[in-house]
Amino acid sequence: MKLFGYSMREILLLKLFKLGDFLIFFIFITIIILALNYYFHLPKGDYLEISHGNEIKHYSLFQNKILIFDEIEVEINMGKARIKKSNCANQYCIMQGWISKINHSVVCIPNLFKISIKSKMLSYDSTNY
Amino acid sequence: MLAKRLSKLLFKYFSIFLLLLINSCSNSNFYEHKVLIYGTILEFKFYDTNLDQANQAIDQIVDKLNDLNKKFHPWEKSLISEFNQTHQINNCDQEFIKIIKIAKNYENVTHSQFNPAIGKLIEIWGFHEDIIKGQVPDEEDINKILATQPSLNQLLITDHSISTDNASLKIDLGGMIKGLALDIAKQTYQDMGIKNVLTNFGGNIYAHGKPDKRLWEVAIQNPHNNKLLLAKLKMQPGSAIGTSGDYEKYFIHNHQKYSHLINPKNGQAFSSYSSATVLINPNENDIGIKSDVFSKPLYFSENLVETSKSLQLNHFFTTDHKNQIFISKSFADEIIWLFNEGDFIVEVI
Repeated sequence: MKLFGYSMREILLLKLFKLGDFLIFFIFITIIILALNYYFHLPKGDYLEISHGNEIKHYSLFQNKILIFDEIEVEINMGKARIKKSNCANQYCIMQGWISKINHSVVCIPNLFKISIKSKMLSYDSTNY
Repeated sequence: MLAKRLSKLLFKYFSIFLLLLINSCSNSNFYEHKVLIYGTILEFKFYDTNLDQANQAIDQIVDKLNDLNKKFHPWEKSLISEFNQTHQINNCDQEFIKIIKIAKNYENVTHSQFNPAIGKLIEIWGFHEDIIKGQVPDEEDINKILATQPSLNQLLITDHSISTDNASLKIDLGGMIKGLALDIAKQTYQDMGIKNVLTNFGGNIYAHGKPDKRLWEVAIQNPHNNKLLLAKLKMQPGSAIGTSGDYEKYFIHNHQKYSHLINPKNGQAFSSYSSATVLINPNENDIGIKSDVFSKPLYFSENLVETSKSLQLNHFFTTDHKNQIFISKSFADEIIWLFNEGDFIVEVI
């Protein structure tokens, strides 16, 4: 494996890295680990937001339901959701599988279609009572 | 050479990452402030507003509301409490007379389903005290007051005085004062050129402008559990929302819940509904007052379709004691329900 024309052995032998460089590597790796840890421990969501063209619709996640939007089929199964069928060529959206945690999304770009998990406790400015 | 290039590259991306991180955490465009006015919380959430200008607006609004309190507090020392004792006052200013006339107009618009002249009924139910004792009045006392048909139409109003011959008429503007406060806030923002602020006075909310490219978002409390939310909605710039319910000020006697909202038609302190919410669309007059006043006729309504038609209301819903929600079609299209599956049954009317 070569980096900027140098092999890893050459890089290590030539002592091209200084303490500051390792510090930056360390900070980056720490941030990546923290971010991944945060990503995998996100709380579960409460409802599903579906963006279809210019329309945005919301559905409770706590139900068993199949939703059909033209050529796309979305399945909700007690707390999780997935795109089950789609007419897109690569089927990447189906390969994404189930999502259940806040802010997780599946996008089907050819159909301008997106499903996202949202939480009821997030994002409101004030309470009416 | 390589290390330098790598360091530069890493430093560049690290700086961009840090900037994005700082930017994502930043909330500096918002300024929130809370004030307690006669036991009610007044909340402001300004967006992209000069801090001095926002504080100046808050001071102006608070001053005006304190002035209103001095005039309209129904049982503490005020012009209205003086009227409620003597049934005549002669030292009213123009603003006082204007507000009495507005209240009278809305009593007529709602066919007396909102009636600010039933202060005496509210008093005998024990809600004209700082600490609610929880007393159920005699039916006879209620009927005596109802027999006089108290109404602001029984007032003789001149430029500086109000009087009445009906000894059972006591004025209580509690059913519209929060809405009036929102209209005062709206006028203040317009006069000062403030563009984007959300104002919440005791649960009644007025959305002025919008924060950046999104709309103000408001959650609605679950009337059966104040720790849960019932719904969420996006408020168009210039709209206002109000809810009347039996869960904020009430007492329980012999397993029956009695709310501070008194039905002007029968003098009773309960309804088949636990809450009624109305959303008033932008560009209407007295938007704050309507958001406050119009929820009362719905709360006591026996026919929601007829009541909403008579008030020309398109956006409303009620919840009842059997966990049923009755919602207008226009509102159903805009609202996002947040309750757990099975907690409520929604019926579009």
